[in-house]
Amino acid sequence: MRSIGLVLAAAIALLTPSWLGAAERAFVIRAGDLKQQPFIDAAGAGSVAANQAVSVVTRQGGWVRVESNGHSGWMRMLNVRLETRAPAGGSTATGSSTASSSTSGSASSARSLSRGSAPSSGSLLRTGSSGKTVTTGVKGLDESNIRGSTPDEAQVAALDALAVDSTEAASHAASSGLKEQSVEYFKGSR
Amino acid sequence: MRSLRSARALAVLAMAGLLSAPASAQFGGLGGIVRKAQTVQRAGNALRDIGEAEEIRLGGDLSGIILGAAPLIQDQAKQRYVNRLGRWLASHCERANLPWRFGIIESSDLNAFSMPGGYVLVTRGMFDNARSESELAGVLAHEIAHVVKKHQLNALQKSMGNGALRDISGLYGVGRLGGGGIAGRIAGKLLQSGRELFARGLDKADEYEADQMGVVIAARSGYSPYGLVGVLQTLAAEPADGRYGLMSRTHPQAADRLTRLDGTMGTRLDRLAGLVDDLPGFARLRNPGAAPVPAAPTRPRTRRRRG
Repeated sequence: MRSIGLVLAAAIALLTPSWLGAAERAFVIRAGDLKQQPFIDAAGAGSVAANQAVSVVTRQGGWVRVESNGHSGWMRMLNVRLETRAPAGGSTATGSSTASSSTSGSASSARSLSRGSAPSSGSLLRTGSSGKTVTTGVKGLDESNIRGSTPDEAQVAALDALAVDSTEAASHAASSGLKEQSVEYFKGSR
Repeated sequence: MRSLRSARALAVLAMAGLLSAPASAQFGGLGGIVRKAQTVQRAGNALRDIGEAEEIRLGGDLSGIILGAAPLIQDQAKQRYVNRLGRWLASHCERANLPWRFGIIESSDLNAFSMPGGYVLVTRGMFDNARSESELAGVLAHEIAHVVKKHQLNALQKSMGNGALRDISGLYGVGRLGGGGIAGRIAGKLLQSGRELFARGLDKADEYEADQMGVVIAARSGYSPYGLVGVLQTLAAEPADGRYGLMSRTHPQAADRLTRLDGTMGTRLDRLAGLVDDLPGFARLRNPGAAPVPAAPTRPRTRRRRG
């Protein structure tokens, strides 16, 4: 059972291009203008409507570059949400979730609101026509792992040994070009 | 190991004044050792008031629970990187002088944990699937904020409260301080409360607060505060179980966290110049191919649809 799952997982992984650099499916939660550059005072590049389906192509600071219906431009990151990631098994398993990416926004909103409570069978693979389920062998970390855990003293000692001091951290940050900023916490957050 | 751990936990409680504070009248009659009811209140505030040295020991004990379930990955380059990054972030919080320690643990899940005293653990899945260093920084800064605000200590105090007193008063009934059995039972009680804490999570309000402080700590350290926003977008798009399972059950929904962050942060940090999204050192180390998040189903799962 286990080896079947691993083989299948490996096969699917080989057939699937890396997500890096690939567009992420998203939808607009607040209508607004697209910009030619990721700045608030950049020139306009069209507009997007609430609930419009877009593809997030890249990210920069608080901005995402999106494409939709042949248009592309930058919009604020907080004005988009990603579509719920499709579970494995292809479009047949996800049904309307896949089909409705270009339909009206209420469907997108409903999906986003319901995703948190949608039941799932976790790390199981339903193998197409046969309907058999197999475990994938990928290690997760859940409540039962923690409730059944015996504290590992040697691992704590190893963790202690990993610590670096603030001087080394500052030196590394400086060589990386990180620049400290003076920023207050938001009122009410402390 | 057990006795060493026990002694550590005993020291924590002793310093917290619990062992020298017999229980209230409600547990009365234990061989004349029960005294004033006022000690209930003392013990109630005891965890919150423990000294820094004891807080650090407690954090080590609690880290041991997570590490017992998911050990550190054997990749010194990544462990060193996350410690440099984490320590730099922690230098921009209000408890910069804690002996901060960061570790990557062996799990493909997207999750992170923090313990009192400056212990922070992040899963391999979180490290490898961060789109940029600012995303990892956002997660670590969120965890650092929990430690700054002593959220875990407060939660332990709430959960142990009278239970700890009852335990200790019972111990006084069977033996004297310093007996191995006493220490073992107290340690067991503490560890059990710790396990419950990790399995159930903190209050929602604490999570929202850590988000709002985390983006500021990241920005102070020179990172885009939108790294945490990107992570929350990823989490909001994850199917409810599986890789995001435990975190989704121990945290408010990511979509709600985004809404709160949107309301609080808005464009307020957008004027900051020269913030960093990603760094080549991190881009070289992260390995999304090991456990991709958004599209490549190396961890297949089925999903029953409602309705």
